[in-house]
Amino acid sequence: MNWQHSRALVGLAAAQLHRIGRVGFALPLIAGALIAVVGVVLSAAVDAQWTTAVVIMLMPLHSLVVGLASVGVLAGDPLVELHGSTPVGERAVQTMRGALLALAGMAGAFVMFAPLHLLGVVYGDVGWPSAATPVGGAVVFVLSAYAAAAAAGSPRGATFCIVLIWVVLSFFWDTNLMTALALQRGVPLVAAAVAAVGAWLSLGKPERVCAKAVGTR
Amino acid sequence: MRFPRLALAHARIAGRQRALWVVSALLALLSLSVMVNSAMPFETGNASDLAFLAQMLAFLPPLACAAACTDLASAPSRLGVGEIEDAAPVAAVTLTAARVAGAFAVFALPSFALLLFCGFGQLAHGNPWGPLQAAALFASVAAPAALLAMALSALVGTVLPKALARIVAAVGWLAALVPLSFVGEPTAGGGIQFHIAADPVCQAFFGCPPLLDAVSAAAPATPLVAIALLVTKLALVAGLLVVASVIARHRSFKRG
Repeated sequence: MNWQHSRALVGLAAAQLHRIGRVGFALPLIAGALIAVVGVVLSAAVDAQWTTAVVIMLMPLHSLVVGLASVGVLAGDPLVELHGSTPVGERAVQTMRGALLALAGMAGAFVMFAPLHLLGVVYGDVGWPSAATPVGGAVVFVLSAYAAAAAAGSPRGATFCIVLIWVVLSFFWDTNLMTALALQRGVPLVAAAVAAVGAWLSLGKPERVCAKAVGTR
Repeated sequence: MRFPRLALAHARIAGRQRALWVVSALLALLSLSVMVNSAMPFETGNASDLAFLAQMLAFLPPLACAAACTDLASAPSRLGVGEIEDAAPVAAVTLTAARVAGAFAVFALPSFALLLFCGFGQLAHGNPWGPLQAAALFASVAAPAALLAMALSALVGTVLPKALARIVAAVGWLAALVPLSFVGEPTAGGGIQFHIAADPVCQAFFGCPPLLDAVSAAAPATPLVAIALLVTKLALVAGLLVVASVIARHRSFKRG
């Protein structure tokens, strides 16, 4: 039954892409492109130190965009309830959405990083491995949104959790670990992956999903 | 009597969600942790340390409020209590203000508790006005920032769709805050150093220097300037709420 299983997966992916296309895919890519454009324009207009200062402030915003877009997709969608009554189940739908969001987030982060790296305006740049900071950040935030949507009681609670994680990562964690890239992205990735596995396990119960993921104000 | 009851109902709705309490408390503690390298406000008797904490509390928790409160004025996507409330015989502004007040009571309580705790700590270290100063700092620095963030978020939520509204509100709050709070100065080594500018209320009434982490040649703000800015902030909150409620009521009639 393997080819039928893969056809079902492709169908699921296409349906979720159709539902979340504008928010899930377009927003991370557009945000990455916009930040890259601003960086390129600024580097042509003003000198390098002001460009780097502005780029330092703009680059963490991409992870915030990915996180908030993921919360908008994964929490508060009334259609998710319906999937509990179909053979597909909510867990498969949420996981597929998370996978698509992670792909879009990574692509958007790379679109943002590559022009800025080639212009040399990224602060603390150690070469192409520095791409791990925005790309890994996008994955961390998609996994965190997946866990927050399954754990918090409403889209508002999930948004609060994502903003807290963003503040900790951008203002405290990343700025102090600019030279130790493996630690800087490794620890948040592991923590987010553990939380996401916990969410995957808890999404196995349909009643809990309906109570938490769709939720109140 | 309608406004207090509506606000209480929304405070209960927000208060039931454990995630909101936990994250608000964590954000307040995070704002306190910024001061770990210098003196913590509950172990000195200096009012300007308390003012620094209030300013950090006006920076970090309102960011979460700005991102999360986009649905306070607009109608939610699924039918529910929101529809019944929209049919209540109150003015649109009263309804929006009650929702904001109810949510604010939950989001701002951990910050207020932390400030009060540090105020009592200052009382124990020789500052006799500690708790009163903490309450005054909350009312004049931390609370207007949170209310401004929520009002901005409510306005953005009435005109933009869900996820885009959250992003625009959060980025807009940061864009409004960063030029007003940070001053960039080129340093001798070829880089740029950013300093935190103190809130005028902190400068005029609590003895903060104009730049919180460096020496500046400018004079501290006068009380008149501080009070004028505070009144402007509150007027801006009221204005944003009025516009948001008018747009939301207009759109809920059109939706049919």
